[in-house]
Amino acid sequence: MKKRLLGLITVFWLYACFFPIYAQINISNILATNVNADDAVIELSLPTELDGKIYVVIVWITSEGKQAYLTHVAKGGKHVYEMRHHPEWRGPLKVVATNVNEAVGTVHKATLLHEIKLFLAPERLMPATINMLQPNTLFMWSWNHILLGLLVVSALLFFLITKKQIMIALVFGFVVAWGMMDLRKMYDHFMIVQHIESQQITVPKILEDLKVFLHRAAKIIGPNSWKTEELGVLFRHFAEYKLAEHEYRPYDSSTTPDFIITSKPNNREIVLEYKGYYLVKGKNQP
Amino acid sequence: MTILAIIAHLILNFLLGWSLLSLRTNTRNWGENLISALILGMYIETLFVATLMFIGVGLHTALMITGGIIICLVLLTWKRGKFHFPTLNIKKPKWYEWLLLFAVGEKIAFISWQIFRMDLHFDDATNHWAGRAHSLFGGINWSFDTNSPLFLGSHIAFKHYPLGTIIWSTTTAVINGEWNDVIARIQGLVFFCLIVATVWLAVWRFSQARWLAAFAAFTVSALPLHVWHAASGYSDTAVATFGVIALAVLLRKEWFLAGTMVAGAAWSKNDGLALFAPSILIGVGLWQFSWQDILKLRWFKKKKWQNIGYCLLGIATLAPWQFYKQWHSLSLSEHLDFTWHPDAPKLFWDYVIMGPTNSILWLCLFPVMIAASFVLHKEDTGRAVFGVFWTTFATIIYIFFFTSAYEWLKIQTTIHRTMLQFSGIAIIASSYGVWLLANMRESRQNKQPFSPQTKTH
Repeated sequence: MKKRLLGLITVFWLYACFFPIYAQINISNILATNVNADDAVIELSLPTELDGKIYVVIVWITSEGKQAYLTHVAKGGKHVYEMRHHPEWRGPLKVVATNVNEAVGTVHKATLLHEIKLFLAPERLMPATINMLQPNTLFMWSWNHILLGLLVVSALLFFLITKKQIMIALVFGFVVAWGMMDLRKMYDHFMIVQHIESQQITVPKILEDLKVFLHRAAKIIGPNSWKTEELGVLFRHFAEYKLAEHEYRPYDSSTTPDFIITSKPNNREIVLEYKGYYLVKGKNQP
Repeated sequence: MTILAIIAHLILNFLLGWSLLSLRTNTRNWGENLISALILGMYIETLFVATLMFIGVGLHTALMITGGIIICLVLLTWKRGKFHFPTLNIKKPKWYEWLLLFAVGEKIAFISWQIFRMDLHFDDATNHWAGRAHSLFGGINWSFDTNSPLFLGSHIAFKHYPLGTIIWSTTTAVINGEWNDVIARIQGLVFFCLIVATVWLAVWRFSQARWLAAFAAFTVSALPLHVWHAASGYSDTAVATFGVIALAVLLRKEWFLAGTMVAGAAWSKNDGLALFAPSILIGVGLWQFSWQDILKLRWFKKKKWQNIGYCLLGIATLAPWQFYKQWHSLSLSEHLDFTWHPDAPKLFWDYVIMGPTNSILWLCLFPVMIAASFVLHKEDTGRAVFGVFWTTFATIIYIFFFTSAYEWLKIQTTIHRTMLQFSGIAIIASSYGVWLLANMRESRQNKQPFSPQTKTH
């Protein structure tokens, strides 16, 4: 339990870096009142445009008046969200709410279908995917533990049937378990491809607007100089990579460039604006 | 055009490596020859271009000089009839090898889809690797002047990182005539294929057991993080490739080439030097000296030191970069404090051994290596494998438990990449251990003295 919490906190920490919006959470959408959380999960419907773009924060108050919360990356459409690993998600709850106003959801007892949906919930393509992968569970059991069980059973069967050495049997058991793990990952890969292709995007959602903005900004900047200002680290690096062939004025440079890419125009002349990103003039342009 | 440029660059690298490898006779089969030639060519070409740039030659001139030298060298080798042609020997795949090919094919398809369909987007790639490569290609945001804020692309990234993968991408972009996100990441796919092929060939070479080679290759290919890293534009897959080839060539007693592969790992990312220089050197050393030699201080056997010397000489091929680093006070890493972190073992257990990122790989692999260590030390090759595995692992433990790199264990970032770099070596080592344990058992059953080197395949 503690391990999972640590994992969640880490994921939360990483994403908090990339989602400044997180600091302004407003829990306003009540999903349910007076429900029993024992062996229950949440089924949420979210608009597809929020997919992978924001966090869904689910907050609840227990019968003893304790408040607790869990965060999940938003999934567009109707999806099941696992809650049962949280120690405070148990017994009668006074209220369950979320920060996403457009969300419609219910608290359900987990059914077999829910369990299968949770097990098959695919990996999300996110900035943190390069560092670590999401855990899978089946009936609240860690997928790794199930694989270990499979390894032992396969090895035992192989040993009893073929009478080969125990070492060879263990290798065979490992390959069976590793193969099952790989099948599950292949399913993930297939679902990711299908998801991205259906959305017709070429970068994770959080970078999509910036990509369009930079494409337009590059044509305006041309041979002039530029720098970034007031952008999160991920967004700054993405801009610096995309515009690497345009003269860059380092972030801490004292000289003012011709153009500045920023999220805060601050009364400067705006040359281009697109979904919260601005290209403003840095110094007098002809 | 991009595909053609990539293929042309790879062929040029292969021909360069093949010419150099043909200078000496060897026992490599065609697969081993292909892998060694390609990786050696990539390393030598990028290092040579960098060396020219360090002394003030411009990028395009450096590329033309390098290209000219490669073509001359290849023509000379061909004219003198020195190319070594190993026999092409492809056997009909067995049923489980079809399964392996399907599993690897799926990974290659998914990696290719990411590379060709998605834009480059992972953070470290946009600054440290592709970010710097794109800046070098553009020219305007790059400088070799230490006083410039653009020195080695330090305006967007860590200037202390080496340039191997950066120069390779830049060279491909120059051949292509323009930069794109495919060029920034395609080497990851090449490296992924090299890792899988190296593991298969290395395990097959010592065991002559096709099923064990197929299982080992499948294990390394299915490591969950591999498909993401191979398409990301990061350099960790490059480090993993050079590392695993270093062990594979060490098992073929190619001491100089093993050292060169360590240099290649260090030329890809500084981690390569820290992880593989001590371990490969210790591996070569343990191969030369038995425990009795070591304990009885019988260290003065010229022939044995000669092999260690060859390995060191291979590592020394990276001298131009190391001198340049010293000259400009570039370090191995950002400042690291040395402190023991008591909760590190628990975090390592939770995240690496039991966590979802590596699935059950390490949980199964470490017990195998612990069990195998009791027999590995009994023969030369086993001692080398033992030395390489445990020294690399000890280095990782030291870095993440005893230095401020602990932070990257705590937030689960670099730790998984480092274990990825280690995974190929670990899988070859554990396969060797399994093979040795199985042989030992067989010898006992047949009431023969245990001697894996005399085992007939």
